[in-house]
Amino acid sequence: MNKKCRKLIGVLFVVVAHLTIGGSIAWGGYPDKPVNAIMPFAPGGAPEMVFRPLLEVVRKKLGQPVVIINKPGGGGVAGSGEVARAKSDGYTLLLNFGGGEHLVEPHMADAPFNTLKDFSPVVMISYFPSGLFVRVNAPWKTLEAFIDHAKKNPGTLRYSHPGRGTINHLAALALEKKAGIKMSDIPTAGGAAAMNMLLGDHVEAAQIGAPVAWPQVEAKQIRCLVQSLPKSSELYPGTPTYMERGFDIRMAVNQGVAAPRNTPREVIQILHDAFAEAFREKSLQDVIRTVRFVPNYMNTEETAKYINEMYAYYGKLIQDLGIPKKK
Amino acid sequence: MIRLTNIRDFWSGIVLGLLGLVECIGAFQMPFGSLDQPDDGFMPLWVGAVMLVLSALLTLRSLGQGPVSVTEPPFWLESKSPIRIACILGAMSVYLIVFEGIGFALATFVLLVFLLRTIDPVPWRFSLLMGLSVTAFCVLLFQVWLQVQLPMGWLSGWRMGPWIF
Amino acid sequence: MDILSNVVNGLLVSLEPSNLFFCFIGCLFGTLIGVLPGLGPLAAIAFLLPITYYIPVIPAMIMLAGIYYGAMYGGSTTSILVNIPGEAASCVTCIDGYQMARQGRAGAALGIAAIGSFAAGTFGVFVLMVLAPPLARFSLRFGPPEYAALLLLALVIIATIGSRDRVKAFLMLASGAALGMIGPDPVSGNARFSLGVRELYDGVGIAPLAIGLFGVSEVLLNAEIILKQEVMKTSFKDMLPTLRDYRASWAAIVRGSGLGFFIGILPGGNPIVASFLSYGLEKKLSSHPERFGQGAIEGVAGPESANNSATSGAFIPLLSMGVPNNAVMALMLGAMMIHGVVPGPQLIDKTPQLFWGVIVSMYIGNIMLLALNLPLIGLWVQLLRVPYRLLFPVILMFCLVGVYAINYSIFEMFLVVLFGTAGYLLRKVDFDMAPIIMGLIIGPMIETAIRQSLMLSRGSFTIFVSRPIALILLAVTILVLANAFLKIRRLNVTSP
Repeated sequence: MNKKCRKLIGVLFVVVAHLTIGGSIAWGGYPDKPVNAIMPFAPGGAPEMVFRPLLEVVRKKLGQPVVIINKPGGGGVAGSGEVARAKSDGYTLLLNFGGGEHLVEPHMADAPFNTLKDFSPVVMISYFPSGLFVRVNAPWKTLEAFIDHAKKNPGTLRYSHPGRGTINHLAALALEKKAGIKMSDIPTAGGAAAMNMLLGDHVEAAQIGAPVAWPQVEAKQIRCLVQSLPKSSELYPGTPTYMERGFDIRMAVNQGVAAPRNTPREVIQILHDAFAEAFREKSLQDVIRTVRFVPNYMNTEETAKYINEMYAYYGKLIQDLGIPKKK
Repeated sequence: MIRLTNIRDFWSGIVLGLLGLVECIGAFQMPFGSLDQPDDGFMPLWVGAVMLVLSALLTLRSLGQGPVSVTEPPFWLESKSPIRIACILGAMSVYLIVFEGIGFALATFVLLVFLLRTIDPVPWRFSLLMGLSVTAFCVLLFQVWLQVQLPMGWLSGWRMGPWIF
Repeated sequence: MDILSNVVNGLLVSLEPSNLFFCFIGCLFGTLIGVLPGLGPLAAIAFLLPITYYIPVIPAMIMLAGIYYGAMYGGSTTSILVNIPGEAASCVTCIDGYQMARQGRAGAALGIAAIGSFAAGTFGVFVLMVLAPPLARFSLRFGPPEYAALLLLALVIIATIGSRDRVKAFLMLASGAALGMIGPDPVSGNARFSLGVRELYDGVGIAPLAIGLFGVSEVLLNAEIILKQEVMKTSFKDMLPTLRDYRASWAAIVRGSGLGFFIGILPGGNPIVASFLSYGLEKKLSSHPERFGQGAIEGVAGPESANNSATSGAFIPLLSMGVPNNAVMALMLGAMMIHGVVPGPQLIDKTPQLFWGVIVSMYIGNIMLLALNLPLIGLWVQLLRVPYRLLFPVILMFCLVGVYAINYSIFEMFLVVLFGTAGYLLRKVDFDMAPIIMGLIIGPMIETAIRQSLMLSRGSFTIFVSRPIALILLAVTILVLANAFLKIRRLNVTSP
């Protein structure tokens, strides 16, 4: 018993030693252990299609894995709140920075974070627009025709969207206000559900994120009347932007990366450089385009400026539209 | 004379009725809307109302005139039962409180050994051995293989070797 | 014949060694993950999705499909063995499957579940091959009014089953619906019943609820009798279903397959609704409904077939139109898009190898699962031999950790304990747990359907009768109700 015991202990010791020592061979400096990247949505969501490949490439540049941790809840608010409270040591990051949960939601309800104060932006990677879609056999081939019909028949046009308070819903409300029309909104649970409603002819139009809907456009089932980016993109051929049509609507769902505030400058710089290098790789550009997100790189300062700008933009818009605070 | 033929149903009805009442009260605090334009509180009100009605039915039914129901098994099957249940629930509660604090591995090990020892005692050596091996297996399964980020707690300084990633 | 040549094409694709390999891996891992409490197809696919980035699209889709099926089946295993639903859809299997296990017939239950799933999967794949596009178009016609009518029918069927104590069953149904009211309002998005707790803003997850109500309560109930009786009968009469079992179940399997498939193709079609409906249907059509809940094998065969064919059905809108029905299909859509495959009606024409390859491999996957799981039955049954006092701590631990692994939420672990206690107490005073789950799922669904319908019609109730499908469903509902009343009338007349 004694001999066996000692042998067993010896083996255990070797195993434990191997496990511990193996991991400590790190070159000093940041990062020297894996970084947690919080994605505030359930796994498999649209932004992950960009972030997962991106983080794979970033891992090579940083020398440490950046692991996606999904923390869904409150439409992106819960996970973001966690990052706001996390340690500023550079080992916790926030993904999908610049999405509706950061730019829109805080204006409409109390959020467990302050978008402008609690985060240090790192980089912006891509964005995608919201689009107004109709069936391909609908009588309106252009935005003007659609608006015209709406003016003549107020309240009869029904559009589905992924939920009240989303950027999509805001885009539609903004159009209503600026074009002076009245439509009925039908909230559904998510972009796919909203699209199903349109495909099944239950509603006349749908306002959804363009990437979700584009396969159906290619399949000639639906048509996009307008999309909400500041400028048009070859990824959405033949589709004008709201701006081109004279409406000051420029909304995008952004995919950015941020760290908690007070994260050291050097750490942010290292992170930014890794992401920027990853962004330049052609394979990543291809992936982003494949899922029909528009690559849109901004460095740290530009990202901070952009976020501040858009935050104010949405704040004003929500006020103008007279949307009361929720909850 | 009204007799309590079924104590359990009586109290169940009361408790569930209270829950229904809470539901209704909550519903009243929300905008109600109308029949053709239901708003937030519409459905909760109906659900709460149904609960109230049904629990009232249940409670009243238990006050029947019939004979007292056939002897049911006692509520606690054994005298030790409440202690056992409390032990299990207590252990689980402590587990989830300390989970992120002391880490998955330690918490699980302690939980397993505790449960093995208290409810239907398993000999010490075997308990410890089983606790250790099951915990190790779970670490392998969840942390390594499924890549679930389980909290390391007090073992945070201890890093797994590179081959595990 | 066109279809034949397509099938042959598909066979050629799916029988390629690498594709076979990935099919097997998918089935295996899917089953293993599905066995863990709380982790179901969604979690399994989410875990293994990253791997699919590195392999070409056809094997990736094949593997994902295998994972889905495997996880569905794995979930049934724990339902039968320890009354813990591996994932939501297996809740129904717990009812009779676990009872069968306690009577020493775990092998038979597991076997019939496997065979029923296989038969249903085969049926589903066959229908897929023949009817995919028209069925997909049909499924899109199901809008909120049709949904509302369908769910109403489901409720009525459940109501008229006649469980032992109807008041209690309905009370549990209402309680489940009340729990379903917690969370964001489907229209306005306001948080309802959150009691100021941030974690409740999104509502009560079905995983903690199901695991607590079924799994933990079971352990608590058993903890009381540990010394007095054995928890499981340790003499195993049958390792596999007997001829008698097959005779009893085949009709249930057929009905379950059809019903499940129909539910599966609908938008939001949830395998759990399919299994509940199948259970209700079987109980209704049975000549001895009182056996249900005590280990009636039809109560396992029907729901298992239903939820497996609902799984196949869910692929139809995705593969033939690019329209995802539920969260799992949305994940698959994502996987396809990452590989540059644009899902949509042209998928069949542009990439027939993908379409037919995946469909045929689903069939092969079903065969693999059967081959994988039947021998495992022996292993699982041996597991039951382990003394309960050694088993239950591990069960409880898996319940808690499994739930944590889904959302990294301590609060959900707390919910498991809370609902475990509630379930324990409720079961002690003779309430059933299944209706709670039913209420949780159907309550919000019906509310959303009705409210959306009224928004579409701008407040007019005629929308429910002006659309043909909704009208037909409502008519069937009325028929079922009438039938039930007549039955009661007849009973009243004949009984003293």
